Amino acid sequence: MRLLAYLLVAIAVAVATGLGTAWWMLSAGPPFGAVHRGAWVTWPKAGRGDADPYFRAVEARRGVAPLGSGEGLTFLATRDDSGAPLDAACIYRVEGTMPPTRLWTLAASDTEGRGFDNPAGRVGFHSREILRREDGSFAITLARSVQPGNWLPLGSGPMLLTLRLYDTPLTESGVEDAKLPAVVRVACS
Amino acid sequence: MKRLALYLLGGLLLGGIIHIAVVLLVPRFATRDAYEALARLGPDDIFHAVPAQGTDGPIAGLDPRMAYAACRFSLAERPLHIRAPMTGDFWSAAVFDDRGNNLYSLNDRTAGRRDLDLVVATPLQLIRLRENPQPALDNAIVVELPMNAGFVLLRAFISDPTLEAEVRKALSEADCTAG
Repeated sequence: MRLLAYLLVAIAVAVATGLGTAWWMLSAGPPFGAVHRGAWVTWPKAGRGDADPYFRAVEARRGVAPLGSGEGLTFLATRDDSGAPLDAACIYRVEGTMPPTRLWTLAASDTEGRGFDNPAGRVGFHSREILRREDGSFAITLARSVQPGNWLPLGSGPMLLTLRLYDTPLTESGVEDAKLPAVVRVACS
Repeated sequence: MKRLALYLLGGLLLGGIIHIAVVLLVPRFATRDAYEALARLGPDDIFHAVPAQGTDGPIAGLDPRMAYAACRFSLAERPLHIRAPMTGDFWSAAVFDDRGNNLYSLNDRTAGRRDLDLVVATPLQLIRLRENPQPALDNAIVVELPMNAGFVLLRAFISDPTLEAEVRKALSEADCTAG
């Protein structure tokens, strides 16, 4: 009788720790291999066949198909440079220069990846349609209301910024030292 | 008490095994993963346009500035041969296996040409191809991948909304079972 009770306790502990830790490690993001650059995070191993099992499990649950090493690199930001969560009701400035890349796109969305509705139908910018300063740097203003210069319309709720670099040498090396644009909160109403 | 501690330790060890098993089995049993979800678009061996936006699309996290087409395939009977006219701007192609691993990818610059002509073969199929070279594959990029089934995802950049129809037309002409 005592043996049975001990066995049941052992099995309960096994199931609870096994499933619990698996769910915990898969629910946030891929737990290993992240490279943080300022507000941005990327998983350089995403597009290679040797991604770790945790990464594969997270990707399968989310139903995403990561960019391959021959295609480019995806950077995500859910917080600004000061560490505060991005809020689509605030005004932000994404400013600086991009790492070497043939083409980039920047999109603002809710955390599920849905773009914000706006009359202009603008969900992001790409590298060829952006207004630059004389030194090649740029500033994009993200706000709900119309802004001068590069304006990306926002909505409300938690926000995700997705920066995709296409055909970039960073997929081979140098992502740890890459210089990405700053994400600065300008104002919050 | 000592015995209970022993059982608890055993439970923790077993929990570790369960943890590993769950993590390894998730890609196999996930139903939202890209390979499973692409079956909703239609039959295999044909390229289907993949919506980049909206929550009910088969693949999450696609770039709204790109047009996409995907084709599910199997290497069980023959190698995969893809031909697509593609566009003069950035485009890329990626080969995923049925667990969602990105096994091979290339873009227009690495392909060195405007159109895509790609053959994916298992090691065994590649040996047979070398023994019986087919003239139709002379200009194709041939890739050896140890896989059974998966999908190919084509993406093409839409630099301006006015070019969208042209880009989508090029993708719609992609052939997943070229001769």
